[in-house]
Amino acid sequence: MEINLLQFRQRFIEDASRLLDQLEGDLIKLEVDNENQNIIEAVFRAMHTLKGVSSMYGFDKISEITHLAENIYDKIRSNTLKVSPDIIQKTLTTADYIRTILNETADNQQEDKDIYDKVISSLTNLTETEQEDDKNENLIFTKSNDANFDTWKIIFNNNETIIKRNINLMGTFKELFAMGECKITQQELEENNTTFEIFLHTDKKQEDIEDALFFIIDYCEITKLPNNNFFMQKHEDKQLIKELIPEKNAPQENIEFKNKEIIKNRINVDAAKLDELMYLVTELITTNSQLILASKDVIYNPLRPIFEKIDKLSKQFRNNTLSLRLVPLNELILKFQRLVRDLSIKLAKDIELVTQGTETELDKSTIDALADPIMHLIRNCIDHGIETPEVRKQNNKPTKGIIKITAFHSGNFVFIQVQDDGKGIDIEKVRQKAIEKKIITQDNNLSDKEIYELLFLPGFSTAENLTQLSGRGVGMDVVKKKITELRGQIEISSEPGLGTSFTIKIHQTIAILDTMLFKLEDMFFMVPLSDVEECRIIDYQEIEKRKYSKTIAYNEQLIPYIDLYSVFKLNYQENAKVKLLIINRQENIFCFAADTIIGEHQAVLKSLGQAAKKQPYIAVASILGDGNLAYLLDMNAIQNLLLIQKKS
Amino acid sequence: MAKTILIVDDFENTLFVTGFTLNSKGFNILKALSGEIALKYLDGREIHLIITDYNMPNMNGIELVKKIKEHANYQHVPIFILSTEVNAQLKDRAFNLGVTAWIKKPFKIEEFIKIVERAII
Repeated sequence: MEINLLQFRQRFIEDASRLLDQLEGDLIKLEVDNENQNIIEAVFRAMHTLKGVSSMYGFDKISEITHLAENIYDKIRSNTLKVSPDIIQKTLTTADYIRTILNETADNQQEDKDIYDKVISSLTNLTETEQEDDKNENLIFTKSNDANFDTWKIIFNNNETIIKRNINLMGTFKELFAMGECKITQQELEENNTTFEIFLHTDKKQEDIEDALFFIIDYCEITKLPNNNFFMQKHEDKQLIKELIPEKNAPQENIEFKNKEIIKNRINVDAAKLDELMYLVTELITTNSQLILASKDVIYNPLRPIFEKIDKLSKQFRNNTLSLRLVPLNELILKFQRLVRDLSIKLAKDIELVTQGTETELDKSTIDALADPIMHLIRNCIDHGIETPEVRKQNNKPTKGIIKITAFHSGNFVFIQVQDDGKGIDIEKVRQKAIEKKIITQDNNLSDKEIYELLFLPGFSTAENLTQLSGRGVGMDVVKKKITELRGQIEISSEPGLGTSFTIKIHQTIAILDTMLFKLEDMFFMVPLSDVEECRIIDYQEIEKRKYSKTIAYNEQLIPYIDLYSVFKLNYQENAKVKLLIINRQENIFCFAADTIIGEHQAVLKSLGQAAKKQPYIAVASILGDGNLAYLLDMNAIQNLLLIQKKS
Repeated sequence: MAKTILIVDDFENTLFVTGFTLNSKGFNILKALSGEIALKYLDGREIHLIITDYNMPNMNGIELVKKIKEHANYQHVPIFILSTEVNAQLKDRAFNLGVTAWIKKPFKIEEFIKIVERAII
């Protein structure tokens, strides 16, 4: 993964601003109570932190200023300097200036050069003895870096600290060997005190060598030998050496910060207020679509451009509000880490939780709702997936099992994967179980995917003996139900012996959805736009022809046809032409007919609550511009119809 | 297999950035906002590297190292101290206590990762 500090810069600015607020508060307290060690310590630490971190984000000026300020407070800390109103005033000015730099845009950088100098000089005046040693430090090694091969002599005094510090000497030596021709001789002077004499012939620069010696550099003396030395005689053919030496690393990236933005402080907002805002936004969107609908009738209307502008603005407003509710998945992970740890101890298994991409953001309510299902999946992985260390050893696997949680974005969706490297799902066992439970019959020919799907049926468990974990009464069916409620999807894939992976696909935000609106008889229905593959018109005979197999020819294949009219007990009016909606959900293609396909509709979803309890294929509804209700089809439930169709 | 790194820093931003960076390199990350919290992590789990800030309230990096070295299970875990200070005395003291590396802040992310990888791979 590319590491780009830019993405953290904004966050740093926010964090730093908060630190400055605190600092100001402390300074004002210090003005009254000017011997309070705690406050002095706090001020010092704030400066110190800013100094250390700011230059990583390209704020070199802040780094310099805070360095001076830090020195002042270090002196105050050690009682060589007393707090005076002058110092407080100057520190406050410094804080103000740092704030300006943080909010600085590229164009006003020039003019503040004067202020910068002023701040620097005012701070320097406070401490007459500016330390020089910091500057010298970087100058120690600035000798020649000839691009060609050089021979270096490194004398390394080994001592017991090396052992204490857990330094892997072999690793360091290996790295030297990888750099070029290397020869190491050891001289034992006294016990526990050896000296290594290392000759290294390489085209790497001194910095690179120092880099390799990073852990032991304090005990090393590095000298460059004149070019004609014993190594040259051995290797006259420089070309050969070049071939042996691995390519030099790519040039270092320069992290540049181009888009400087003015960033305001972060504010914490009560969740209830956000909900209220969300509600207002949804109302606005609904009203907006009413407005658009009303304005459509008038062909020439001077208000038209204004309507369109309002339409655009309210969509922007909507997107903005939705992003307010996004929080990173990280929040959940801590909980899981704990779970994995506790359970693996309980079950005497050695398991590690690895995470990736958990900074992916999701709607807060979605995250909360996902906690239980993911928890259950992890529990499943630990309990049924990962084998005991003994079994793993027998199967030539590392004794430590791994559960990996990966999250990533794709379009409007967030994917969350829970994977284990355990024994995988035994398809045959699931099949037998399903037959035993009379869910399928002996001659049902199901694909692997369909068999995995069986695991989500209520009361289905393949565990031979239920452990205390599985006995909790939360099954995979509940997981599926929860995720379906969030209009998400879950999929299983598994490789016997290698592991199982659960993939959850979920909308990033849940309250507003782009849908395709259509009409059956006089009822409005919607399907998520992302599920619609195509709309087409076919002859009625096409349906009639394959009435019994319930399929339709589509792109030279037969796809299942779902009769929504019978699902919702509506009457189908025979027409010579039939409008078809082709649905594609994760490679599951099927279709259904509609009386009228109206078009795209941005739906503000409202739960139907108790009203829809008895209707399994509808979960939520949206109010249309003209006041009618449109129902969003629960695509998972519809898709399950296919399974039933297949069975009968 | 992913190695676990415990990061200790009282400035949340550093914790976040270092954590994120190392996590993106495939390391498993534990984060602690103070030495006290860090010590709670030493509960038998496997930790391959501890990276701590030097300047922290209540318990500074060196004090934390002392505490870690008292743990029989964790005294061999490499420890890095990050600091803006370059005080040679302090550094020597840290090394004598068994600190693996004293890394001067600010550092370049790429170099930092290299050092981390050197210490645990």
